[in-house]
Amino acid sequence: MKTSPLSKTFIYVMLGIGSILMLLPFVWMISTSLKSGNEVMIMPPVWIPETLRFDNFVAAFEKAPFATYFVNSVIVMVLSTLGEVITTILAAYAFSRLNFWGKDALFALLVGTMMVPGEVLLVPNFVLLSDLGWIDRYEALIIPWTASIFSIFLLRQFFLKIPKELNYAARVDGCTNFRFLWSIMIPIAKPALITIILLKAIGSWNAFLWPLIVTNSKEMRTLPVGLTSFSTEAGTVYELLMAASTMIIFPMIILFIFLQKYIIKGIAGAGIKG
Amino acid sequence: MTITLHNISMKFNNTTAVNQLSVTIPKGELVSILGPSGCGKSTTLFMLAGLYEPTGGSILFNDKDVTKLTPEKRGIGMVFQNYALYPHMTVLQNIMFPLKMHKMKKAEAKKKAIEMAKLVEIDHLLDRKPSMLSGGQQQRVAIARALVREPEILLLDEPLSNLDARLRLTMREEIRRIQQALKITTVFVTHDQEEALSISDHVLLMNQGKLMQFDVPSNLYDEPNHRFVASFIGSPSMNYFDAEIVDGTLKTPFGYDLAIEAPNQSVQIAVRPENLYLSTSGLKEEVRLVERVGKDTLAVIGNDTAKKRLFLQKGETVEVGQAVYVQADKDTIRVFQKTGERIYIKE
Ligand SMILES: Nc1ncnc2c1ncn2[C@@H]1O[C@H](COP(=O)(O)OP(=O)(O)OP(=O)(O)O)[C@@H](O)[C@H]1O
Ligand SMILES: [Mg+2]
Repeated sequence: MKTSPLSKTFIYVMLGIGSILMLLPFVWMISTSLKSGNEVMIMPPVWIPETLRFDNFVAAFEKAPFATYFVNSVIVMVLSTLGEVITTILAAYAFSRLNFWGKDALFALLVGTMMVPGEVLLVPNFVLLSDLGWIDRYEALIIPWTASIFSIFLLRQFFLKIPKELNYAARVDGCTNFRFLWSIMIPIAKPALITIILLKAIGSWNAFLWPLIVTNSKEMRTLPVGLTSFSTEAGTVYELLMAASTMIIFPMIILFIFLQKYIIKGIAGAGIKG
Repeated sequence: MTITLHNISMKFNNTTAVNQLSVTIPKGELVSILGPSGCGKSTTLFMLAGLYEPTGGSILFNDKDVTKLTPEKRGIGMVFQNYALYPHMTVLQNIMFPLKMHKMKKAEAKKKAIEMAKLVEIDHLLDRKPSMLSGGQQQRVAIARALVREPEILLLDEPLSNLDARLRLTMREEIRRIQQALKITTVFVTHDQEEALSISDHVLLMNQGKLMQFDVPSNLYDEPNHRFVASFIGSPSMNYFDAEIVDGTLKTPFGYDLAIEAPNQSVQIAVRPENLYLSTSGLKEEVRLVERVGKDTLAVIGNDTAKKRLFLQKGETVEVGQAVYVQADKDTIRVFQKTGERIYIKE
């Protein structure tokens, strides 16, 4: 399909406006992170601070043990993502390729649980974890998050699109189920898997409520929880909060830059040519 | 490798896809499985491959019972209708994959794969991904992958049905060439009778899960043992005439009688369009339509319920609406019971 130059210009202008709107909060965050305490609240708002106060970053870092938070966040993100990827691949394969008794009923049940709002489960899950003695430990931060029905559903749909004949061909060629999964299905499903990994990594990196509830000590806190140190009864120290936030989103931006190609493929649902 | 199927059946829940099929496929032959859609061709092939386990009966390769053997232990190569190439691997990696699965050393595997690629004439495409190949090229890659482990049996499930008419012709000759070069026992599923009749040593004709006839192509055409076979094979299709057997005599509509050893009954006489001809005596019919089919002229005669077709000889002309006499020689007529079974005429 050919688009005329005029409609092309229109599309670009609209997309441009859209991305500026999306970027504004980030610009505001970075701008605030460089302001002095007085500048933060003045009206009309100042976009470019009079003096750029880079020492906000140093101050933010000294206010709380961010190095510990950072390490915790990374550990939790890496392990829970890894766990989820493994469980997702295995479950999606079973639900799309293996035959076992009660398969459809079990899958329907799993999908059904997606309708239960997560907040409802907060208290029972907390009780369960405290009975297990996992409160304020990595187990509590990681293990409940190593399976995701949504990811299983997503990957299962992707697996189902892969022609059955590939499975047969692989069996004739001498593949076991596991080998077929590893050498054929996973490479083909790479775009879907990367999408799953990204969504998971971002979700884990930004998770706030759960880590706040299951951790008590400073040693176990993650970055988003750590940000609360800037909010006290006396009010919030916005410039430091924003400085810390800027540092926190940095790893995510880098992740995005590296995986951009796959994100677009995965979300556009690139199929396979038959 | 001789393949023997002994009463094999395959039931899926409540459908019987293959019903008590017994046949012996001779060593080194190319055998087509032919039949209408849904008659159980693919199911039969998948049982040969070990991808389905038959619900009854047994399969022998030479004298070895392989009924329960897994596909990779059967020494077979298989080509699927949609080729089933691994989309993320290059042509070379695709062909090497079966060898890799059997732990062959990389250098050796590569050498073999290239050898195979040469045989199917795709050795200039080794670094391409399957999505960058034409249908015919993908087909060749699939054949190379199926052959690279030097299987003793090659199984092909409608390998040509995704190709255009011209390429189909080339590829089927190509498959025949490769099969003869390797002298490999080959089972070839198709629903295209011309394809089956032209390249096969034997054709296995199926209908509704049952074996109808296993024979050489010319016999399938000339000596069908069942009305289904007679109707299925040949285009334009077989002509049928009602007739009676009375006291050991077949009273043909063509004006002559034949001695026949069968009880009194109504039967159908089948005559191929090329064996029916205009004459001065015989069966009187009205001409309905005259059409040209390639270099021949086809006349459609008879009434709405029983149309018949015949080819006109050179120089013959007929008008629509004209009454003509048609005739068939006695060695060209085939007699079928009402149930479809053939009644043979003794000479
Ligand atoms: N996995 C299956 N589950 C249930 N029924 C099946 C299955 N595979 C085949 N069948 C049924 O068995 C019968 C034979 O199928 P099969 O695929 O062998 O036919 P075919 O001769 O190969 O047809 P086509 O020319 O359309 O490929 C069909 O009625 C089909 O619906
Ligand atoms: Mg089929």
